[in-house]
Amino acid sequence: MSVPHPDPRELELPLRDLVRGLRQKTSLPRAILAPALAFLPGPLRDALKDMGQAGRSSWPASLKGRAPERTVILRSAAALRGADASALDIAAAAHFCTRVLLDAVQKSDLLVSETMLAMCWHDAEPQPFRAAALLHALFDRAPFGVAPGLVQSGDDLSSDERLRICVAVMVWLLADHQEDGISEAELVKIAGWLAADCLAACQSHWRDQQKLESVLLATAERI
Amino acid sequence: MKDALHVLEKRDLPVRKTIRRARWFVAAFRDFLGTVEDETKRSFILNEAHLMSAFTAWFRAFEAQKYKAKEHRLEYVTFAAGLMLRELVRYAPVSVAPVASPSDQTVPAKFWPEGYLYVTFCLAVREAVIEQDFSLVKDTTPELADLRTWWSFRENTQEDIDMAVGFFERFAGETPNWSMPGLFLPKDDETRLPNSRQ
Repeated sequence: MSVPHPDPRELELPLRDLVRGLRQKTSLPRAILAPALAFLPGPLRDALKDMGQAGRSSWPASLKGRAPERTVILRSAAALRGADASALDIAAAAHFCTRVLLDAVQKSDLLVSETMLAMCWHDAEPQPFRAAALLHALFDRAPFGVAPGLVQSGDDLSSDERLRICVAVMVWLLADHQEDGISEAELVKIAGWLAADCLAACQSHWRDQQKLESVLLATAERI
Repeated sequence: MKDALHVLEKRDLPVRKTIRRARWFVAAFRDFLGTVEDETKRSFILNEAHLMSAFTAWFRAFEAQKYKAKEHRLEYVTFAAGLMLRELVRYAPVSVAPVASPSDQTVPAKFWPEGYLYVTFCLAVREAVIEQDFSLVKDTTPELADLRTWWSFRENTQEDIDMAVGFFERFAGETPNWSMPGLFLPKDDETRLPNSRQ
């Protein structure tokens, strides 16, 4: 019997990540999933079956990687320059950006954890150079990659590619987000290319947060 | 052709600044490509990653010599557009879709469609900056239609990519610096160069 389950957007971050991770695997053949499903409590099993039957198109934007509301992006961008911001905003904005960048390198099946992204922001928020500190946290905490304990079809990212994506997230967040007819997904793509160009500079200034932040700001200005 | 760059001219910033922002460079190039497709009746295939490589290389080259432009801004506009052409030729972001029957190759746009696109784009950017910043209208030269110049342009840039800057100056009606085309030497400095080397 199927039981009602909440809109994934209304879940707390860790549960949302859990559902997101499980949802990624519901596209696997039923024969592979069936033994694992048998171990789950009934309501969760039913919910997963429902999700498996639903098309991806019925999933809410926050779980699929569509751009968050513009105000969320603007608040996140301001937070990197010292304004107050909710970790939820940063996580939503960074999640969207990471998702687009992973799709661009055909790594759509990697999991992006909003919970980890929020924790990264908690690491960075008290520090004087927030953008550089957030970049460190993104790289150290690895909020995207192969979900632990799950079967993965492809390889994880190389260290350089992981760093490029982290840099791109920062460069995109720091960019000008005025409404000018260019979509946020397009700006993310550009950030991804420019991140490759400034990767060496980021690596050489990795231990000097002031200089690292200068590199990120200068690159963001070029978007 | 400058009219095809309207995307650069709608902004609050002057064209010389918008073109140095990746989003507007890409948008302007895409729009311009469409205009040249209509003009030449050929279809282009754009590799955006290569276009971004051209942009970043051009941006670095532009910044590296900008300090010399302070009292020679007008000359530097042409030189900077020549650098842009150099990087577009180097990274070749555009390829032309094959056609069933070979077309007439007696006009530059048919002889080397990608090169024609790069040159006319850079000329249009130069023209837009000069018109906006200096209130001047610079006409292109007859060289632009001269197929022999295009032959020479294509061959020479394959051997030395810096030659693209010299050829651009020629297309723009300026006097090229053939000895060191990739180096910005304002005309008065250029004449002093032999002495300064002694």
